[in-house]
Amino acid sequence: MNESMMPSEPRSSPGNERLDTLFRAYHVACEPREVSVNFMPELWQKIEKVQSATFSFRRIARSFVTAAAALSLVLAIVSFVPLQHPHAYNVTYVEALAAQNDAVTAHSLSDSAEYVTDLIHPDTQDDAAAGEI
Amino acid sequence: MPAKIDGMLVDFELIKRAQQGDGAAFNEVVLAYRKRILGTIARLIARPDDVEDVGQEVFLRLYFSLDQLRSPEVFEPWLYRLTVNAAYDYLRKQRRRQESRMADLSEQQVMVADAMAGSKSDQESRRRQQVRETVDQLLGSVSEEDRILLTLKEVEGLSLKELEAIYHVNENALKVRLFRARQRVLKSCGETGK
Repeated sequence: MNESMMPSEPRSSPGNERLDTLFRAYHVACEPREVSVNFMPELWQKIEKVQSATFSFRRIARSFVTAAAALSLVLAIVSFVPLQHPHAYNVTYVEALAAQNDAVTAHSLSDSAEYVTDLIHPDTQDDAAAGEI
Repeated sequence: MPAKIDGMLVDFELIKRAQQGDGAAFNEVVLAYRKRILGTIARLIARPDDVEDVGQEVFLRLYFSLDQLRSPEVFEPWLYRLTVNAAYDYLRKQRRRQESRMADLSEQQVMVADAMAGSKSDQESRRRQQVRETVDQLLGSVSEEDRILLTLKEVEGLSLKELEAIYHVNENALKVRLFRARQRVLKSCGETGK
């Protein structure tokens, strides 16, 4: 990397020359001090700190995803359960129609019977009502 | 493929092992490059007390992004890129702007630079300190971008090709940026360059 410590182009102005001299002097003046013995241990501490923070975040994220999946499953089951006992729709349309027809027929028959009874014994119900009073 | 490029401090195999999560290999890479990187950081940020912190930040970023390195051949420009970014971040945080006028610096600069060559050893550290302060003051008067570009080119001695690889900008654009950065530095110390 340090193949050239000199500026690539000559600069003729006194200002530029002074600046180049100064930069060269600065390079020498800024030679780094000895690296402290704690440099590597501190670096690894920082790496482990970041790793543990990342790991904690991943663990929280994974827990959240698991909880969301479990909740979705519960909601799916809850919404599915009522379909297991559809009492109203256990029969086919034809059967339901037949059953309704039977009910209507039976009702109309009972109505006819009451009508006939009323015709034969018109006072029976009135007497019973008067007796209660 | 060669084991390593000339000037590289480690071979490709070591970088590949570090990429695969080998902690010992990563340790070796750090040990090989830390002095060079700390030297660059020292010149970029000019705060000796914070150099190691910024250096650790660089290697921390290296550790967690090493798997994104496409090929070991571009390892060094890439490491420099990480260094430059960490230095930018540090300088942005610091935002230390020296507002003092530097019209009278020129004479001082020449005196200090001339004195560097044949000074006595007991005066050496004091003069180095003076040089550091002078250049820090000069570079502190321009933007972080100018400061870092000039330091990499003029102080670190990186070639335009190497800067191209770091900045992903073509050579001509870099020349223009360097020229303008120099002009701003000269202007800030009262020099017109004429």
